[in-house]
Amino acid sequence: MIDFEEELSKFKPSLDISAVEDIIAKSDISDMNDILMELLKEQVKG
Amino acid sequence: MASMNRRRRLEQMSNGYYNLGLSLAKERNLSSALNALSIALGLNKKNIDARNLYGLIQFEMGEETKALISWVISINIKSMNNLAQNYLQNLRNKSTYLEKSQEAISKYNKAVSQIRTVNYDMARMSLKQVVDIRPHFIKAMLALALLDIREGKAGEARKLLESVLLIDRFNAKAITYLDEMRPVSERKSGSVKLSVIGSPIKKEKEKPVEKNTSASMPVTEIYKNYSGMFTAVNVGIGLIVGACAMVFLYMPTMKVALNKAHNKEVVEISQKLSDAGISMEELKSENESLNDQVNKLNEINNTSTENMNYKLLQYVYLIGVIREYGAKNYTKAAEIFSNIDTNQLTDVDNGPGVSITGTFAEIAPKMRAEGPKLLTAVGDGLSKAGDYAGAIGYYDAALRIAPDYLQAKYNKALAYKTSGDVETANNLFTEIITAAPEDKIAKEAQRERGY
Repeated sequence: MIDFEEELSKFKPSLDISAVEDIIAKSDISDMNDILMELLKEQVKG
Repeated sequence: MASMNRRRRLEQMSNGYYNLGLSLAKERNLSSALNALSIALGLNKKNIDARNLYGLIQFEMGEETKALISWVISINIKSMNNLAQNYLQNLRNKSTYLEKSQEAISKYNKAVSQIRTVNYDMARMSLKQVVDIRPHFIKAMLALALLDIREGKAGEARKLLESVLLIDRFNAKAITYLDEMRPVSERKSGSVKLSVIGSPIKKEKEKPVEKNTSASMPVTEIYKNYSGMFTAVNVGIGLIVGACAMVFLYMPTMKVALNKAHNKEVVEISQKLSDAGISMEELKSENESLNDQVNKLNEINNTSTENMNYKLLQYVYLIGVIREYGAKNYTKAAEIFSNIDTNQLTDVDNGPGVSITGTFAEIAPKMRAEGPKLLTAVGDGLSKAGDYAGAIGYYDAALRIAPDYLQAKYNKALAYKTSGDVETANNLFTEIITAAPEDKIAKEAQRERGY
């Protein structure tokens, strides 16, 4: 049975179109390669 | 090299997930497609196709903001020959579209806010407006459906949920809500059938959905079993397996590869340092060579200056000769004349037409004829007075004017002999004997020499 209140609480505000520029500026689009390089560089340094 | 292999493998994996995403999108399994594309982008952020498709699916699901973000990033990564440019251009051409989208988003956010304050009626009204503006805004449709269910308006809720499934065929929430709306007996027996998974999707989203769900989106046991929930679980398992594979299989390889890369970098840096050392040596050598050249040029410059001074000195001597000659002081004139290097005297173009070589030519015959005798006489006087060095200076002056003047050479030799330098004297006597063996002076030289 659906818990109506709980289900409703899952709905979050949507992103404003006017915020696109700001979101893009703050967005981190690192991929797996970037993350692996960072991790392994730290290991090598350590 | 290791880095390139790693990058290539990640690109291949990313393309695999992109293909899966594309395949799911073609079946209108948009939620799962988004998951697959998220993984594709996580593996390779420069997978432009995956990023563009991700944006397109978000747009289709009414998430215009996410679509814009995705396409703008896509264009930032690849500015030429990018489909995202077309998408954005289309939106720019329809300037009111984004305004409407913004309005829908604002109303949706307002509705969410109203839901949080338990103002469900107002929220329902706001969401109805949102769905009117954007009939494919899935989040709004689901929220509205949920409120409709709460209000007991099952028909309206079903209609909305079926519309959601037309857009996103296996939307987990829509399926769950629909399932909840069915009587318990139906849920267990699963009387509604779905013929084929992946059958072509009807395009007529705008058409009113029939009450009989089987017409637009029939539901069967297979459909139930292969619900969005299962899709989400499958994707989740896939992610976990992928992460495990990454940690247990890929990471050690990567570590070795990175260590190798690190060692290679160290070798390369050492090589560069070595090369830099060699370059430094080469630069030092080059610097020394340049310094040598500078020294040579300075020497040439100095020599040139010295030569110029030397040349000027000859003109000074000539002026002295002219002055003494004019004063009839011929001995002094001859003494100065003996120092002139005639090769340095050259004429230059000048207005009055003064010729240096001409002037010299007027004086030179008398000086060459009388100068050596006059100078030798002075030397003889000094020799008699015991000033042999002074005497030798005058004999030398006479010999500079007339190198073959034997009397000056003989007297010079005597001066050396008298002063005690017999060796130099004998050499001079020998020169005289060799130059003119039959000369009277040569005979005397032989006698002095002891022959």
